[in-house]
Amino acid sequence: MPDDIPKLPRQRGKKNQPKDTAWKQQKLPALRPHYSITSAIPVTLITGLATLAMGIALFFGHQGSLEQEVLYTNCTLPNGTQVERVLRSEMGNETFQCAYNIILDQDYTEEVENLEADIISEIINNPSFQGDIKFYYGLNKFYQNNRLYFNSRNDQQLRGKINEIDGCDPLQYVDVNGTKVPIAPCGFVANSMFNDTFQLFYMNGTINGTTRVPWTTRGVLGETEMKRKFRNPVRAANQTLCDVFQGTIQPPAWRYPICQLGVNSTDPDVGIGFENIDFMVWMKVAALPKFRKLYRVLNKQVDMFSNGLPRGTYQLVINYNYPVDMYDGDKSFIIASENWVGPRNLFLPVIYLVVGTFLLLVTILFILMWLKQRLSRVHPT
Amino acid sequence: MPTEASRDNNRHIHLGELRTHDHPHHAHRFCSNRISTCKYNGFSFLPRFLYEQFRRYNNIFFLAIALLQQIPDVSPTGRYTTAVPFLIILSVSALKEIFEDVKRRRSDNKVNAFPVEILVDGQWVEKQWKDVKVGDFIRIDNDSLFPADLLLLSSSEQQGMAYIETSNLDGETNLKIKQALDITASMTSSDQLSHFQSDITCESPSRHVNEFNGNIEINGETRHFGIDQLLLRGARLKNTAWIFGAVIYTGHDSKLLMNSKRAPLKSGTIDVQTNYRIIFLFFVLVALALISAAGSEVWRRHNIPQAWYLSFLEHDPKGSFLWGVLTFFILYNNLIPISLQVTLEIVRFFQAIYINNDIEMYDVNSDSCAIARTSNLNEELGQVKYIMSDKTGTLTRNVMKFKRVSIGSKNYGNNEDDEFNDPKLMEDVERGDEHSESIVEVLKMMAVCHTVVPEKKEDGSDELIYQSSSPDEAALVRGAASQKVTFHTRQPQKVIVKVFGEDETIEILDVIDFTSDRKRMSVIVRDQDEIKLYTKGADTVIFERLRETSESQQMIDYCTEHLEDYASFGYRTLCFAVRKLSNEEYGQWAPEYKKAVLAIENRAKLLAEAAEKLERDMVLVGATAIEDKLQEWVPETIQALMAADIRVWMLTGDKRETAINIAHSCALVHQNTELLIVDKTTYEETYQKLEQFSTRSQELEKQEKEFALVIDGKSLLHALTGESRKHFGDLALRCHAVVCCRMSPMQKAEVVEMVRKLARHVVLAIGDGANDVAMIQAANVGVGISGEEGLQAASASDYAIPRFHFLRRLLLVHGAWNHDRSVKVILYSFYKNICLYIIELWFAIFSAWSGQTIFERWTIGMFNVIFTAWPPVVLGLFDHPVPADQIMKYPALYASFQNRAFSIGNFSLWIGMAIIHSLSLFFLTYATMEHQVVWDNGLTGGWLMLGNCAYTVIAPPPFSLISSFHFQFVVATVCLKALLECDSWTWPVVVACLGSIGLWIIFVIVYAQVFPHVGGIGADMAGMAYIMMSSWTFWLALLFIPLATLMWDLVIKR
Repeated sequence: MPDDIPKLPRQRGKKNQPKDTAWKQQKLPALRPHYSITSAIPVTLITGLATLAMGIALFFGHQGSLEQEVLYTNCTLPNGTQVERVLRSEMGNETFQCAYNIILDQDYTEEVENLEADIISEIINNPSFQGDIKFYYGLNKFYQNNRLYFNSRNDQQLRGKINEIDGCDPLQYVDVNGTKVPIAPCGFVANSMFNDTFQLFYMNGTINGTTRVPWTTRGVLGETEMKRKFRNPVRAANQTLCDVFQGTIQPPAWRYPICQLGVNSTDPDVGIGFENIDFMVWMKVAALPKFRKLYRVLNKQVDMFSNGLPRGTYQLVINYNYPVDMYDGDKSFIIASENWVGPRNLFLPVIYLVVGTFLLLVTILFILMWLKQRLSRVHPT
Repeated sequence: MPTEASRDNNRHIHLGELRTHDHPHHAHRFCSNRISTCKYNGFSFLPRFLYEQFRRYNNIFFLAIALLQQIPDVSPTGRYTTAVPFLIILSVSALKEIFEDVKRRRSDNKVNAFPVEILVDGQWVEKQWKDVKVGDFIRIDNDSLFPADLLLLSSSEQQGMAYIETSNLDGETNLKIKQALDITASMTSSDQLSHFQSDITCESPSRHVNEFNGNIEINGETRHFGIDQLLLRGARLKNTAWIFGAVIYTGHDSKLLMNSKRAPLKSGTIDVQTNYRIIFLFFVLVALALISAAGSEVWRRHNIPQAWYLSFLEHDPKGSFLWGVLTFFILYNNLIPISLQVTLEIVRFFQAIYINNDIEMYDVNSDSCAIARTSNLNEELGQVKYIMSDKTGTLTRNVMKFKRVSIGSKNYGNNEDDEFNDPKLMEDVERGDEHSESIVEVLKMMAVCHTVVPEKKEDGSDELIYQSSSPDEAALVRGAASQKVTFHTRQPQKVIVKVFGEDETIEILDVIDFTSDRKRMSVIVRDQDEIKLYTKGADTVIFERLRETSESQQMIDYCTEHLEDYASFGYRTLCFAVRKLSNEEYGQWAPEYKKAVLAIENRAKLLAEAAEKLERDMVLVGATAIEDKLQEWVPETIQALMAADIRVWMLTGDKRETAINIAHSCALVHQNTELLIVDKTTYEETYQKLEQFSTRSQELEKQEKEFALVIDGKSLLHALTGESRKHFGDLALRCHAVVCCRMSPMQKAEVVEMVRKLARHVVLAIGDGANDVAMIQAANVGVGISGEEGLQAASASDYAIPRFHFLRRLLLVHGAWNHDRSVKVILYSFYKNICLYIIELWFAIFSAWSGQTIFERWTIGMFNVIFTAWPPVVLGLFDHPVPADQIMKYPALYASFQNRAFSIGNFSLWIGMAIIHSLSLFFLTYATMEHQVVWDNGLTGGWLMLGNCAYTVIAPPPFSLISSFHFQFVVATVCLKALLECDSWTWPVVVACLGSIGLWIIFVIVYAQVFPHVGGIGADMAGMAYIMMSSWTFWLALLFIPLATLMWDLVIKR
């Protein structure tokens, strides 16, 4: 429009002169990193040394964290017979009890080979487990991360609204005489809950004098997670848990209803129903097909174990319920002691050491290049 | 057209009070004078905006994804994770559109509210422009704009004359004379006007500014009126106290608005390339979806039904191949960056602001800065390989100075003085001989033979300002005035010239205008009862129309000699010739000419024929030289541009000698440059010449000698046709410089087109006048000089700069920067999306190919619009690939920046890096987290831990500054990566990158608290923040994994 078009050039002062600000003139102070060999040498040297130092520290830290893994897929019965790939036919109907002897001893190295044939004990040479001791169970080739499996749950139901079953299809409800009885907990994640249970006994050096290793569920799950995500339905003063779960049915693979989950435990912290610790741990889906889930933590308030697990022989007794053989999976039980580095993982220290060494080599290369430059500058040829 | 009368194509207007009711009221038939240049209104906004948006492929793509996600259970990322970011992005675009439209609306409103006086019931009432209706009588005062197209009825000047300035319309700054019809010119009072009754029939609205026909019927008498009576909207009344006018065309029917057409939408080469890359990625996406779905099928065959916990998959349709394809298609959809378009738009918008605000491109004299009229060609400025430059007004100042004059055998003036200064001329006049008569004759012709309008200075002094459409004429008039022959008053049929102190009135009988075909202009004057034809024009056309005598031949010889002298200095020359006419001859000729003037068809041809009859047997009296000074810094600029490996072509309508001279003086060619001159008139000759030069140029190329091509318009006509086109193209592209002279505007555009097609390089055209518009619109980038020749070129251009030498900064600094930045923004957007989403592919291998996302759905959804929205923007706005002063000093850097372009190699490198980074990030995280018990209090992180860790590591990809923030010793490594992306760190860059990381951490903290308060969302994330951040390994990995990842860049860079 007429007045939008700039007027014809005539001396008209400086009305349109742009402002000379750093923003508009793109003159903000800038750090312009220049990379030359001389400036790169200290950088790579310091980085390399620091990385190397970190790697060494991690490595020693790693030395302090120990773990024992017992692969118990092929169950060993308490009487000594090994049952290979059990339960193929009798899935979920029968409980086996298996037992493994574990010897935690620093100087028992030689015996590993000898005793491997031994059907009731697996002896591994290790220093005494000290500090925080954790007990895990591990599964292999189990795809908790399958998308349809993963989503087959209802988080609202787990917070006590037992009739919320959206998203659990096809494990939403069971048709009983034309009425739809919701499954609680619904969905495939809950249906396939891991139901082996473990007991660990300290043999005190003798066979008869056994002490049950005391463990607790405290610290297995974060407070917020437990409190916010899992809640049993609200019940009135005179109601039992089974009363409030009335009108629901257990998942098809379960042997008893949800209200009885954890009832038999001697440890009240284990919790019942939706608030059962093993249930909650299972419902936290693992990212990879090979995973471990925290089972229990050593209770150090018991005198004998205040410093951790003493050296010696232990017996692991397993209530063997969970079928893994059909899909060729593995099950294991892990005893781990962890220090500041976290769990035993050689990967971090190794990669730190590798990168640190690499950077130092690069530094040396740079120094050589720099020397060559200097020499050629001093004696131009 | 809704405003047209239904019966015929003509417009019927009744002026004056309505006498009967049988006339329908005008207001219902013609459009209002309210104008709107807005794209949208309240109702049309949504449909139009959506239409514009969904013309882009990628928007259709994302809409399709958003719709696909609505199918229950098909989407691995929930139903709204594409829809919401997509809506956010659309809203940003919508906001930008609304912002621009509001700006337009404001300026419309301002214009609509201009005051104007309208006659209502015999009284002048002040109203607003928008209230003006067809048929209204309005009054316009001096220096006001016309609100609509008006029929001039009468004015304050005698015979209803009015002077107008039309610079808004055609860019011409001279005054034009309009004159009312004699039957209306007498109505000079409102009283007369309010009793005026008439009917007007005229043509329906059209865009022809120079054509108009209509009839006015007053009291039964019908008179014809035309463009001379029409005052166009946008023009301004000058030197006239007031006029009365009747409104003919209002609002969008007016000629100004009929002509306001948006320049053709150009899209940059980068956009085209980006589109190809996107299409490529789309196919990659489809391929990945197919591969993944196939993987899923294979996995199912092997594991189902053995994996009893997944047994339902056996019969579930959701496990089928097709379903899998859809799922993975959605999962990987963000391989195509959803935010690229809007990021680029934002970046370009601000880049244009940078250009507009560059103080180094501000010209004090005209008080104007560079104007980026479009922003989507910013990076094209960094890709320029050819510059097509106009000469006059662009390279040269178009400030004409009368320098020298040749009269008879004598050559007056010198080259040193700024303006003509030779006392010998006056001495020779005083001698009073025959020679002095011709001197007076020449000076008189200089003062009379033109269309200049003198204007008294506003401060009342006697100094005159000469308004002229041709700066040459003004220079001549000023030159004559300096020799005491002062032209000071123009009236319709006469001019008054003060000759050596005495006023002489010279009657102007006819003016035969200058046209580019005729190359001359003439006036026929009656001076003291003598009728004379004064003609001035180019030497070629004048010489062939002289009376052939031995005397004249001698004159021609002298003159030619002088003209050659002038041309060698690059002066513009004009020859002056005169012819005395007898009364009879003129009497015979005049009616014929009148007829031609009034002709409607073939007017130009008839006029030329009529003129030809008179313009013969003339006597040459002299020749003048006018200097056209170079613009400031032109040689330096041209040298810098050529050093930047840009080929500069000069396209001019001027003659060859002048063109070559200017080419020399502006450093386009040097003393030892061999000029290959093509000046043939037939096709065969041109073809042969071109062939010959083609081989010659190859020789010269081998000898590493510089050569330049000079070609004129006639040869070019042949050079551009058929076989020779190829030869010409080959030859021209090989030359360092090309000078094309005697070009018509269309030929300029044709040359631009040819180079664009042949070289496939970016061609920039720069010009200042209306004759450059075609070329500017044809080029990839059109630059207009908002200078003296008006504004037509500037309004048609993509970028307007006040001075030619700003082109250097526009290209070298803004062009190189913007190109580098935009390419980085694009590549970085691809990079970050591929890096993030390819991780999903690696994860698929470990998640039974089920399409499970490794990242939580909303964090992934917000990845582009929140967490990584700012790094590309700051990269596009604050990165300085090279300091401005350096690239100005070493223009060769410009060429090296072009090589950093958006090539397939560069693209593959970034994609390769993205894949390597994603591999490295995923597997390092995988290895670190293998047992998923990564924090010392032993909480099992579960599925999200892996995702979160990978995500945190990747969220601030190249600028993982958080690492340097926490761990000083990683700074160097991160810098190395940042060096790849950002060449200069300013605090906005640092803040944006750190802030993005901060945003992500804040997001995690907040999001972890959301469940169960807001619906069902966030269940997976509940309580995650504390777990993640209390883990030692998380921080260690956060420090280490980017470092290890960026080592790849280090390795590749070194």
